Amino acid sequence: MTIGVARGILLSTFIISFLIGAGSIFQVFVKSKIYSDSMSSMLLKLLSIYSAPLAVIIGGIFAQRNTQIRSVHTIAFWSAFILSAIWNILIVGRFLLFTLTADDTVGALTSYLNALVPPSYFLVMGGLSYFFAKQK
Amino acid sequence: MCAKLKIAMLCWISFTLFITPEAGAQKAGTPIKVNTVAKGNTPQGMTLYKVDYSYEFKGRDSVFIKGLGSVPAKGQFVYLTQDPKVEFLDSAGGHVIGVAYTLPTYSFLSPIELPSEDAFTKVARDELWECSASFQEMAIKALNKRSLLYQSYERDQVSCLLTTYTSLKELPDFLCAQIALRLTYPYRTKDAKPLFRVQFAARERRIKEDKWRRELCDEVQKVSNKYLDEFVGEVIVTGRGKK
Repeated sequence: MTIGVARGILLSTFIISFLIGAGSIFQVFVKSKIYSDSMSSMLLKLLSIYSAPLAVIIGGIFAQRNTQIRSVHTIAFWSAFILSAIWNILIVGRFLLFTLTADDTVGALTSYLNALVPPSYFLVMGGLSYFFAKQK
Repeated sequence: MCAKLKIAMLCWISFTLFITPEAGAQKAGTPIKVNTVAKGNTPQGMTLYKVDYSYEFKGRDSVFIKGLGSVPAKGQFVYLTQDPKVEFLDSAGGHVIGVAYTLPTYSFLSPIELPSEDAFTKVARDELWECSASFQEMAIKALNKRSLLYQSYERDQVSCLLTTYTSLKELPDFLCAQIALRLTYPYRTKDAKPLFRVQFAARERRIKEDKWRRELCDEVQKVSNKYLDEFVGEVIVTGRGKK
């Protein structure tokens, strides 16, 4: 597997998860279950959560253009991918629960995200740095 | 010896002055029976007592209960008050004919949510009270029918009944709303007849929101106005029926 493919898969994982999270918020808003200011604050929260990993990914893409043919270690890729998937499931799964369950609230979701996100960055930041910030 | 005698006398005075919780049943010759007294706090930290008592003063048509107003000589009330002492007068500003004071027997686990003064809308229903029946009695009847818990207090010789929040029905699934009422009597007089005023404080939240908001959408405003109209109508109709 080339590094370009590995990066593409990791990038897709984060982008798709981010879009699912944003879609969940829009869906709840469209059904009038939250006010518009809550929708804005939740979107900002989602953006702030994804800002760190996406900054590493996008920065890596722009910084390194000619590394498409370099191959990557399979174990390194799968480790990074599985850990990224776990992290995204923890975030997006909670957004989906918020959308699908009847008695969940904005406050409960925000508390969960505040408690979970900062200590869980270690799951993704190492792998992303390896694949996107590595020079050679 | 002298100290013991003083303590014994103090105990006796305490026993005779206050109806103790253990003496919950109506004593012979005592026209007031205190059933329960519960202590609770508002989120703002104000202590309130929920008193539940019944009374009967024979040979009278009405009595005046301090903080509640003029009511029939026989009845039962359950309401919130800042003072757990219930004082019965023969008329407004008249002589004391009975007092009951009981220590709280239990406490509320959750805070008692009463609306603040500024929560009430400026929109109010002012109506003439032309019935001979006691306004308080009729108003309390209507409140009890809706299972509304209320605080009773007097301010400048005006009786106020302030209810806790209750949920509004007939709303869309995504919307929750609560309403509280404030009844003031006599609000003022018109052609020498007393007017009563009813105001509401409503709040709403979307189903997935945590916090209540005072800015009301059209649906909640409409349902709140309907609730207020129905309540006022019922008080007037009940009063006329009692004429």
